[in-house]
Amino acid sequence: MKLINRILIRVSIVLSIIVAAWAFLFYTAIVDEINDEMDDSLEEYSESIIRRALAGEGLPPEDATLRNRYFLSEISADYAKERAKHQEVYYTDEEESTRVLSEIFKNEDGNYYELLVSTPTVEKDELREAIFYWSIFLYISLLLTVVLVYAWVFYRSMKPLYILLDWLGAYRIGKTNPPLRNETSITEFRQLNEAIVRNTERNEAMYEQQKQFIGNASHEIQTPLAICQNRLEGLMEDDSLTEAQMEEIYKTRRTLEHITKLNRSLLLLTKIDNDQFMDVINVDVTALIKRYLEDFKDVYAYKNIRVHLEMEEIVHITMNESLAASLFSNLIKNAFVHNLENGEIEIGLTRDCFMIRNSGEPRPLDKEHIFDRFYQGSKKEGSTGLGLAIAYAICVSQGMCLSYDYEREKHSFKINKLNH
Amino acid sequence: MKRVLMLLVCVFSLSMSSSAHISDKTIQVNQLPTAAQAFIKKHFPNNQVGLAKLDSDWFDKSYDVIFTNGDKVEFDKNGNWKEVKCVSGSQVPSPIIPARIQAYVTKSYSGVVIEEIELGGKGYEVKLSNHLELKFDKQFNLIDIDK
Repeated sequence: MKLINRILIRVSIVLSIIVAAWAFLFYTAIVDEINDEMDDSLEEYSESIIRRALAGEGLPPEDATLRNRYFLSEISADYAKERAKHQEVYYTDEEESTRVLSEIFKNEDGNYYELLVSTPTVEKDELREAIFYWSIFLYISLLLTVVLVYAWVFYRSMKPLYILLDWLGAYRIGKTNPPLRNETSITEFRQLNEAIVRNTERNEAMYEQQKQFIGNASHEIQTPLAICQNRLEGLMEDDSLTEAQMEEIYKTRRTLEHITKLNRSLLLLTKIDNDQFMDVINVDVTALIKRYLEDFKDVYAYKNIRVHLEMEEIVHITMNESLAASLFSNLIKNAFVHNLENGEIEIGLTRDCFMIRNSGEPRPLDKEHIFDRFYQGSKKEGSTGLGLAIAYAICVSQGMCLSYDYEREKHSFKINKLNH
Repeated sequence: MKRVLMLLVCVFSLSMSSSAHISDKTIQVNQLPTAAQAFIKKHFPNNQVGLAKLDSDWFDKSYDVIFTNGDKVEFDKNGNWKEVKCVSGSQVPSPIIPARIQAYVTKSYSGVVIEEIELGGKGYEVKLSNHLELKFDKQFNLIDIDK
């Protein structure tokens, strides 16, 4: 959810509560005020009638225009005393929607009179309805205004944040990135900009260091390895060695070769994990697969493996060339290495999906760990235990999906979402 | 949020209590403040009380007394008079009227009596039997005449 939406939703909820409360208060205040005014005028009216009645002046005619009415009647002293015990003067709203004031007074002769004065009151239902609709109108217009003002203010004030987010989204480490242009007078945004620029610079430096380290390490290890191999080769040319010694030296050389391969694979894996293969081109996968297939068929000719190909004519994917080579060669090699004698390989390639199946040990492998480094069902000659880990790391770095399944007694590897 | 709700509740309860109606109550003469009772005895010794009322609202109280001849006196909560109204033709008892106002009326309008006098926050207001209304400030200077 976007921040602005969250803010607007909360504001509108709070606003609805406030407007509802306001409407209620406004209604009670208005009714109160109206009643007050009416009571005042009733009291004045009643006072003038009482005084005129007591002074013996003529009572006023019914006021037809104001619709004020009065009703004067003589009452017994007992009734007057009975009434005197209670709240003597009261205002009531009657069903005829009039407000009534009743007062009792005594004249010179000691006779009691009751005066009722009444005036029509406002229709409360109509008032309520009017206030209700006006409140809704107020709410909607307030909400509209607030939403517009908030959205405008929000986007105006948050502009530096969005510029920063866009810049960060486009940022690629190890590539040339445009400098962050985000002039702002807001302290927080300035601090954020500075922090992020500092951070990217630090990352950039670390990345550079790591690359150098990897380069150095590969150089430093590979050279001694090559020297070792050369020396062993030189040693093997010595005719004075016995057969048994030659055998030992040969075995040592094989081991050294394995270490060299292992070293190269590990370096490759580290580079993939560091996203160091950034240059992408359009790779013709069909041709790539065919080429590797021929090579491996020759190498593993002794296994007598049948290969079924089912490929679309030309499939191109967009990725780093050496990564693509590494990915498909590792998968194809894996299928050969772990295959049985007289086994089978099926390769399928469509626009979106690559699939390779091979016969092999007749039991499924552990799905959880098959792509882990050095995970091997059983030790195989010429296998470093890193091939599938490399293939998996390549797929992850390219946003593709490599999965393993065991179906119809075949081990099946599948890449979904090939990049185009 | 909680604070907003609390505030609403406060405002709401305040408005409810203030809207609780100002009660007007009929009372007996002996329930009037003693100053008011003394005032009646002194200036209206022959009048009978027809109706005595206590007006109380949120901040203030006042007393209304209507005599059986139609005259009316209003007192504040301490029993000091605020208004004296006499039926048309009769005169407000002269001890009540400040001497300078009486002198002014006698001098300016011969044969006219003061029917009503009111003491407000700004000063005095008197109504004459010729339907003129005069306003004086607290120093008894005439400030307005209304017809």
